[in-house]
Order: sequence, then C-alpha cells, then structure tokens
Amino acid sequence: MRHLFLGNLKRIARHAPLLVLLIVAQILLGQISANALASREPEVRFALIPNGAGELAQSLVQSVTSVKSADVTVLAPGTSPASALRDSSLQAAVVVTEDFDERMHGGRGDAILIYPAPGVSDVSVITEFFAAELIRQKADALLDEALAETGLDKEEYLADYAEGDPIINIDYIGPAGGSIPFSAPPAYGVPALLLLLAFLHAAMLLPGPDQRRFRLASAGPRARSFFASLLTLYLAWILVTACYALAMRLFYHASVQPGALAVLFLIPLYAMSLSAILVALGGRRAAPWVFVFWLAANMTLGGGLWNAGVTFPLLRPLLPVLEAVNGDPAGYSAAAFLLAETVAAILVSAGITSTSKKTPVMA
Amino acid sequence: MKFLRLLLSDAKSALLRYPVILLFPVFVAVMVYLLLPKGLTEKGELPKLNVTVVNQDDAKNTALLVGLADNIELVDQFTEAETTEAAVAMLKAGETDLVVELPKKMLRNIIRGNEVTITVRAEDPLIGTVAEAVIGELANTLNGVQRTSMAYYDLSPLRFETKAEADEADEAFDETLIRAVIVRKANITVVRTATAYEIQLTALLIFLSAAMGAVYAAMAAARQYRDGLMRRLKMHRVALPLVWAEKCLLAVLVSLPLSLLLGLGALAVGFPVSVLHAALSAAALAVPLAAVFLLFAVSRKDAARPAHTMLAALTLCLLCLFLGGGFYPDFKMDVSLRLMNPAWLAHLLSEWSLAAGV
Repeated sequence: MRHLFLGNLKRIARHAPLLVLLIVAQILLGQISANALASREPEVRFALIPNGAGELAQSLVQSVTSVKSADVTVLAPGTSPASALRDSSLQAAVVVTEDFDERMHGGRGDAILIYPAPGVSDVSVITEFFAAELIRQKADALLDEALAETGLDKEEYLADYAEGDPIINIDYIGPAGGSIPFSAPPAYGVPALLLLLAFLHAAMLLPGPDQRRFRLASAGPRARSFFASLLTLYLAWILVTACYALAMRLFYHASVQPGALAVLFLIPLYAMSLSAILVALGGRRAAPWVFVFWLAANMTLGGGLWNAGVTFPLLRPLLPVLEAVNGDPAGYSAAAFLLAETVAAILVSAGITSTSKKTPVMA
Repeated sequence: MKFLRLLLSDAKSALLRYPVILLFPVFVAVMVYLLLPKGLTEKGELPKLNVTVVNQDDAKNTALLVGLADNIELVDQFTEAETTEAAVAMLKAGETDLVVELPKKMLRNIIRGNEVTITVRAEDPLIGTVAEAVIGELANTLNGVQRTSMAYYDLSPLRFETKAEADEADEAFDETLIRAVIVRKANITVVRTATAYEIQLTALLIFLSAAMGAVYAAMAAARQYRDGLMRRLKMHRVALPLVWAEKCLLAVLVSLPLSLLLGLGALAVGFPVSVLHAALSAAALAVPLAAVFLLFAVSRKDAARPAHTMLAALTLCLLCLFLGGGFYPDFKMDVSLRLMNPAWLAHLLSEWSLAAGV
C-alpha cells in the first residue's frame, strides 16, 4: 500500500507543470470570461464618415466625438466604408448619410448606416450607442427651445448639471429563485470546465485490472488499493482548486461564492469517480473519447462557455459544470446534489472493483 | 508512391479506427442547436420569446413595452398579468418564457433621475441572460438622457407662471422621449449580408471541421511515432517534410467531408451558406492547424503520446475559440490576440461563405 501511495505521488509530481498550467489557465480564462460577460461599459471603436452637412448631422458628429467612452476616428466625407475598415482594430464604419437631416425630419429611416468590420458579428453595442445619441439629440433640441424662451446661455446653465450615476438597476431572478448578480465576477463556467480534466488524469493514473502495477501493489483488498489511489489523486486536485480560489482573491480581489466553491471542490472528485467506473470496467483506452464528448456537452448544454446552461433534468448528472454555473445563486443545494452524485458514482465503482475477477495482465 | 501509400493507410484508419472523432463536430453542432430555445426569429438574431409583464396599472409602461415589443424583434407574444404571483405561476407552468416586472411610473422616474429597479424572471438561464442584456442596453440608453432631462424640468418653473402649465410642458417632454425610445433604432441600418448569429455559427462549423481534421492528423503522427513507424520511414529514406506534408493533406481530407456534412446540415436548418465555400475554408484552415498540432506529436516520448497530443490540441482549440471571439462577443476580445488566430480567421471565412451562399 505504501509503495502504491508513493508511486502515485511520484506520478502526480511528474504532472506538476500541467497542474500549474491548469491553475493559470483557470484564472486567466475565468477572469477574461467574467469581464467579457459582466462589463456593461460600451466598448466602441469605429470610424465615422460624416457625409451629411446639415445642422442635425453636424450636431450628431460633434456629440459622438465628445463621448469619452467611445474611440472614434473621424474620416473625410465621401470615404468609402470598405477603405475605412482596412484598419483591423475597428469594429465598424458608420456613415452619417448626406440627407441625414431630411431623413430624420421625415422619419424615412436609413439616416445612419453601420458597416460591420469583416468578421465582427455583433455590432449591437454600436447600434445602441447611436440610438442613445439620437434620443439625446432629441432631448437637447427640446432643451434648446426652452432655453431660447428664457434667454439663458446653454453652456452656463448646463455647467451645474453633471452626468449622474446610472439610475436603472436590473434584478435578474433565475431558475433557482435567487437573484443572479450579472456583473459579479468571477464566472465559474470556464474554471469548472478545466476541472473536468481530472477525469483524464484519473484515467491515466488509477490502477486497473489491465496493469501489472495494480497486481503487484494490491496485497490487500483490491477496492482499498484502488480508492487509496483515487484519494491520492484527489489531493492534487484539491490543491488546484484551492490555488484557484486563493489566486482569485489575491490578484483580482474576487471571492468565489461558498456554494460555487463547494461545487468546484467536488467536480474533480465526481470526474474521478466516473473515470474510476470506466477504469474498473476495463475501458481505460476509451477515456479520451468519452472525455471529448463529455467536455463538449458541458461546454454547450452545461453552460461552460456562456455561463448559462440548459436544464434538462435527465441530463443533469452528466453536466457537473451546470452545478458550478448555478452554484452561486443556488448556494449549497447545487453542491449537495453533486455530492450525492459523487457518492453514487463511488459506490458503483467500488461495487465493480470489488466484484471484478482477476484478469490477465496486459501492461 | 510512398507518400500516397502512407496517405491511403492513414485515411483508411481515419474511417475504420477512430470514426468517433469525425462525429465530434456533428455532436457539438447538434448540442448548440439544442441549446437555442424555441427556434430562431425570421432574421435568425434572437430566440422568440413569450413575455409576460406584471401590469402595474401604468399606461406609459405598457405603451413602452408594446412599442419595444414591435421594435426589438425579441418578443413573439406579449401578455399581461395582474400580480407577480400570477406571472410566476405562468412561468412555472411553461406558459411564458420571461416575466418582466416594471415599477410604477418607471419612465417618469427615470427621466426625472430617480432610481428604479426592473425585475426579470426566467426559468431558462439563456433566455434570462439574453433578455437581461437587451434590457440592459435600453437602460444604458435611458441613463444617457438623465442630465438633459433634469435641466429641462428645472427650467419649467422659469418659463411658466402656473404649476399646471409647467407640469403640462414636462408631460409633453416625457411623451416625446418615450416615443423616441420606442423608435430608437428606426433610423439606423446595419449593412451586411448575414446576421450575427449566422456568422458566429458558420465560423464555429468551419473551425471545428478544420480542427478535427488537424487533431486526427496529429494523433495519427503521434501513434506512428509511438509505434516506431516514423523511425522505419526514416530508415527507408523518406524525408520528414514529406511525412508532415502527408499529414497536412490528411487533415484536409478529413476536414473536407466533415465541413460538407455540417454545411448541408446548416443549409437544412435555413442558413444561406455556400457548402462549397465552407468546405474550402475548412480545408484551408486545416493545414496551419495541423502544422501546429504536429509539434505536440513530436514533443513527448512515451506511450501516452497520442492522448497527450489530443489533450494539448483540444486545449489550444478551446483557447483559440475563446480569444478569437468564438464564444463571447468578438468586439470584447483584444485585437492583437485575434489577428493570427484561426478561430478569428474562421469568422472572416464564414462571412465569405455566407456571402457566396446569398
């Protein structure tokens, strides 16, 4: 037993660089995804081609170029959108049409044309940015009329009005009934996906009926040696998860919610238990293939990529990442569900291991 | 001749030994399709939703919602419920996809700078996220007019002698802005041949086909290194560049039928994609991807080489997709990280394939 334990530790130590890489990937990808999902700040970079020379068109151009959150490159009127989009850093080229004023007064549409840059699929932020500008322009026109009646100077009058803080809050209540803080980092989908790799790690290192190592080491009951190895492996993954949670706190000052953290600690154990069933059944060679499909299901249905999964009750045991995604609002109930699944998987693998007949040594 | 023999042997084992890998992109495509709730809109931009609003007996809120429902193409059916409990019961029974609860006199409060909270409830997390994003956009727009509005209201007592007249002018101001919010995108046109959704999914289709071809070629090489075939080829004076070229061609051969299959599937669900262009795009991307993945095949020297090669290649694919805007809004990803990224190139090629299809 001691040899088996030491042998496992040696093997795990050989994979140490991989585990360190995993922690770094978890932190980086988790944080990038959290930022990408959570940031509501408009990130707009576009070229503006002001073809319209009317009063409204000029006022729009002036107002758009003075917005601090937008990175606007103003080009000469008449520049073609295609040539503007040769700059690969731009998201779109926006054309203020020649007859902008007439179109706005007549409500004829097509006053602003947005040409997305090649490959950029989503220009909704730019569309909304211009929609907001048009509404602001309308409000400004009404204010100008009122100021003209009173004879006050606009700049002097508006100097007392600073831009206020956002006043609209959105409370999103998800399937679990709790409020989901949309902007709260970190997102758990990607870190949870990476923890699924414990499945492959266990499939590579767990002793099985196909290995000489297991035959030599299992002086005692077979199941005991098998689960001693499982626990040794799990120690390494506890370390990975703990390092992730600690680094999030140290470097990003983001605390992983207790419910989600409990799920993140359980995911590797669950993955290893499933792997243990496969190894006990003698299907070690099939592990990479099973893993690929399992990963894909957790990426998509489990919500690993978008941090929003789909709840098909029958598929839930196959989608531990879904518990991590929901772990934040659902608190410990997601962790309890995953724990029950893990215990069931361990019992199944224990049953198979203790009852399996000795097979001829293959490797 | 040796080149052709090796290629034929690899291609045969692609079909016979690991047919499962060829199913992977098909599996992902089906999963993504299943993930999309309730089908797509006619334009393929967003899922169509049945929305229930909790009626707070506020005509302006209702007018705003009806106006938005006509304009944002998110809403399929629009119903009202008298209480939150009734709306939640409809949600639990599956009679509605989304419940939106607006506070009383919401618009007036927003325009006047008072803080308000909109509550969104959904049983499907994806619907909830999409709806919240759309409402979030609107919130940003309304937050933008706050300063002008406050200045306008403070001016009214100076312009009118009686409070009633000032209130009437403020009401008219509210009405004009509410109308402007409702038709806020009517004057803006996005000029493109394909929708965001079509570009994103076609790019995924092209990238997965190419990546699976490349993964297979790299794994075949890893297996041959492990089994000593590469050493034997060297002894028979077969040049290494020739073997690598064969593996790149193998990647193309595997990715071509995959992309054709997925392209036909995309056509069947109504994507205007040119199957030929998509297949050519996948084949073109498969070559550089295979060249990179082959480096993984030679970098490790033990029995687990094929498994390690597959793991490393899949991790790299995930990273490329992530940084190339495969999962998250592409404009939020750093430009420098996506220039040479095959997942980003798949976006460019997907536009080309969709334009050819139209």
